[in-house]
Amino acid sequence: MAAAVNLGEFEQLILLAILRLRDDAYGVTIRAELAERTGRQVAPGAMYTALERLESKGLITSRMTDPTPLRGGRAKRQVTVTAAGREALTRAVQAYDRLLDGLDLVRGKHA
Amino acid sequence: MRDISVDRLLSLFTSSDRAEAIAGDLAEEREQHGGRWFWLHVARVTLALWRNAVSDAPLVVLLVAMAGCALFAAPAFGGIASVYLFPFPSGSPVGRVALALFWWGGALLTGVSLLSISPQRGMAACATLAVVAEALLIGCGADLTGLLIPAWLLAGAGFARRRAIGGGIHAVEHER
Repeated sequence: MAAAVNLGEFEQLILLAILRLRDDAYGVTIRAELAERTGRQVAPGAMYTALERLESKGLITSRMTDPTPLRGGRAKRQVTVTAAGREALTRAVQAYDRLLDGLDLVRGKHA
Repeated sequence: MRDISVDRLLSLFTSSDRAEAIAGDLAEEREQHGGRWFWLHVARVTLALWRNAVSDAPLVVLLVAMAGCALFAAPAFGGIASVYLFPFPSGSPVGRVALALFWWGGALLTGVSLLSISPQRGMAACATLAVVAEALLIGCGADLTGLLIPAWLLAGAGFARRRAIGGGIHAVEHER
């Protein structure tokens, strides 16, 4: 059985952004989604290297679309989360849930 | 009109389709952020991809860089020998040309050879070797002939990389 993949925080955020974007997940929209939902201005370099890492781990797949004039005649690389990616993300979220159980950080009781 | 120089620069450290997609993403955001932002991030993404290529397989990059040092040793000493063994007047144009031919030609061939040895990590190894070499050459107070050696090394590696992509070498196109 393959060893479980542990995700870093940034990788989790990227996977969640891709899931939210569904069929429109590529570099520009992922960065915009992260900025809108988390308030983080992600550097393109950090995101592309993270995407390469996620793809090499088999957590996402990508496909090239048709070129568009807006992009100088270049294609987009649309990404989707694989079953292994969903599984790794679920495990990470469940670990957070277990650690948060009994705490109420949002309302400030244990802040 | 599509400016392929960005695609070419990025494809030195990643596959050509990934390079095209990244260049397209940056071009799409260019209208919003401006030309300065675009070129700054082209440089930053290139550096990030290079760093990623090195950190993914540091030992391979180190071994390829060491192979580069070994390959360059022969033309380096050949150039020195050509100047000191033959009776060129000190600092003469003939001596400088002979030295430049050995050193620059050797660096060019070393760059091409390293890409042949390791299509996946050769470019990262060459870039690392070029930066370290340039720092050492500046530190040693080298003249222009010496200072341009890393540029020729990169030129050789870049040429071999472009040729490999153009030739559709599977290993290069599908590398991480």
